[in-house]
Amino acid sequence: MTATVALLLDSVRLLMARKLFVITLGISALLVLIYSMIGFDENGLSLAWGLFHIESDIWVKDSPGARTMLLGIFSTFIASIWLAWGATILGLISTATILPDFLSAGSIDLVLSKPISRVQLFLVKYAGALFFMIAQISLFCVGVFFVLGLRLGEWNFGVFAAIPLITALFSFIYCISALVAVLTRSSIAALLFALLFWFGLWIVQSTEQVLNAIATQQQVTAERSEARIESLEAAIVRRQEALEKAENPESLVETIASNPRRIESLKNQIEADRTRIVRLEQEAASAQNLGAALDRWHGAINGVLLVLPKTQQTLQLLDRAMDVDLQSEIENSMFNAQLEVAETGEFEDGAQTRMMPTVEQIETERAAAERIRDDYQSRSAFVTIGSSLAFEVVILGIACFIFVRRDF
Amino acid sequence: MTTVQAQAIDIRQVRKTFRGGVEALKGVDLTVSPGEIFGLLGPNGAGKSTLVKILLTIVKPSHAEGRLLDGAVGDKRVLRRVGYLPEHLRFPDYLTGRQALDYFAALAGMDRSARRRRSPELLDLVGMSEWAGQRIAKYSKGMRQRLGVAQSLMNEPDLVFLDEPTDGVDPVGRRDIRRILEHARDEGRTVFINSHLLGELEMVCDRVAILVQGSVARQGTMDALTSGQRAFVIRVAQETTQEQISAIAQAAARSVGSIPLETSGSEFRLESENPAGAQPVIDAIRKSGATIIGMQLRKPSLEELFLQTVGDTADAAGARIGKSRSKRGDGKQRSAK
Repeated sequence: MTATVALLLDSVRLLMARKLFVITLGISALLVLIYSMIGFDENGLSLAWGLFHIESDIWVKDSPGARTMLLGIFSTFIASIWLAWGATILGLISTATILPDFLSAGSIDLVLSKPISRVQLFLVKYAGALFFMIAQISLFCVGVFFVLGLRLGEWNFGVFAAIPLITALFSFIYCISALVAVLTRSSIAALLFALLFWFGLWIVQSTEQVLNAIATQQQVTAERSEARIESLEAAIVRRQEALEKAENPESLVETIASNPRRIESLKNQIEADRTRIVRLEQEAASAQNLGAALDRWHGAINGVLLVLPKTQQTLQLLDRAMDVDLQSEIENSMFNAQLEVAETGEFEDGAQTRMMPTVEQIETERAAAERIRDDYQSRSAFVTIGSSLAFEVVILGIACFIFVRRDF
Repeated sequence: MTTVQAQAIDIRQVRKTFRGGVEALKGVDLTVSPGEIFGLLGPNGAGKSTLVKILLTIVKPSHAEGRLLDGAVGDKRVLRRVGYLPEHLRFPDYLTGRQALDYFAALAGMDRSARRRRSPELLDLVGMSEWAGQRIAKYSKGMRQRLGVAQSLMNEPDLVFLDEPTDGVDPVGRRDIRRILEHARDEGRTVFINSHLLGELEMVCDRVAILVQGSVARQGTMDALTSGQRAFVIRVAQETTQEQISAIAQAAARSVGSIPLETSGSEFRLESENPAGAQPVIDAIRKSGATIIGMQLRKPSLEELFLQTVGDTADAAGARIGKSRSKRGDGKQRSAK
């Protein structure tokens, strides 16, 4: 226990001595300060503690819009961009030297000559490196927690979910740095491979998202086309019945209604519906084929992703913890605006629309976006974190095995 | 009834072959008694550091038998009672001297109160009290080495390994470190030193071992190692003529019998450590009328002993190689026939 405490305390001293730690902390403090500048009153949004004012009906004091905005800025921008990218990169740079320095000749000899097991040494040193993120995020979350409490009157403890989630995200990448450090004892190699791995993860996850989006969109297109076909077929049946009655009237009313123009119109509508059905069938078949092909690729990439850390999905868990979904709010607003334009055929400034998607296309996109969002939100947090941690455990196990067996 | 005190180090057949087939140690047998200062010498690449690292679990042996204090070689628990100063020690630069002592003593399992008590004592002993609150980044090499020595003694070890302890230290510092080592021995600690500075070792070591090409070529006390190599050297005045010296040599050679007697300039060297053996030479000098200006029992220095051992081993290895080549050559000749 004495040795474990000493190792952890040493990690704290090491990080406190790093300029990057202080710089990162400074940036975090600045962001919290900027964040605290956003406020709400009865008439709208106030910025820079009331220095500027924006009139709004949605973002007023104690409104759901104000809550979504402030929480959404934290989860969608600050946590996702600063903590998950900026602070994590600075963290990787800052901690990349910890294990190589620890393993260097003249340093490791002395530590290994102490009565501590190598497994304990390695794991405690690794945990010490995670302190960089834990300390940074904790201080940041405390700041955000108080800003939210003072601005919204809502003491949202979900903010603190960022501490384990972002630390976990960092550790999924840092384990690669640790493995490379044990193999090469080079901090540059450790950092480079960690960043390359992260980039690779980003490619795999982005590919999965793109494939999922397109496959889902094709699936929705096919489903909506089939539904439309069914509705058109029903319309044809109705029109055929009407046509039959128009051509063979049995009552006076039917005789009055059955004039040649109506019969011609019904025939034309039936023909148009049949033409539309053929086009929709082609569209459905095409969407189904493409969707099925993409589904196979999506399944394969999902299989790959299953054994890899899921950084983006880990980050999305923060929205769930904070009970906020700014992304869906933004998407809904966007679709509503598009629908308005598509229905009126004009932009707000009176300009005519050209090349704008149809209402049908917008509705299809909205349905696909909702389904994709539901898909990711329904994914188990246990599987997301569990499978990512399993990856980390395997990598750390390999690194630890090498460290334990190595002669120094 | 007598009790036999266990050896501080008692190892047998320690072998290490690194990956790639480099055989660093070829079966080292070594004993170090409690409370002595033991020096391990050897040329570069002899395996000295590898041997120490095996004892400290830094390197895993291919084979090792024996004990370190009261534990088996490789038993981590025994390291609680062991101190170590590695060669080219690198302290974390961000720590102060006091923090470094505290950190490494805590890793050795020492409790906080003991660390707080011991730290100022040792800082004082190595003359670093004034610098204790400064970051190590500001220390000179000599200061780091002093701190390293203090660190090795923090956990009040029964056995201390010091790898080149005076490396980078000025003459005053070397003297101080020698005193610290002697002080440690006086406290009953066993000190095991690896060093290239043979003069330093000669001044403090009770026993030495010479490691050459992965094997212990010699080990014992300085007296034991140099016994049989001591000689009485008798010097006569410069005015003594060559005829007088020849006459003395002839007369003395008849008297000393089989004991080798050499003449070099105005010196007579008799290969014996028995004073009685030197008397006939003295008698011969007096009889010739020459003046004796000095007489001393001369023993080889550690450096001479070391060079002699390394040379002998190299010659033996050369002879083995020659023999082996010769055998292969014979084989070729035979097969050619």
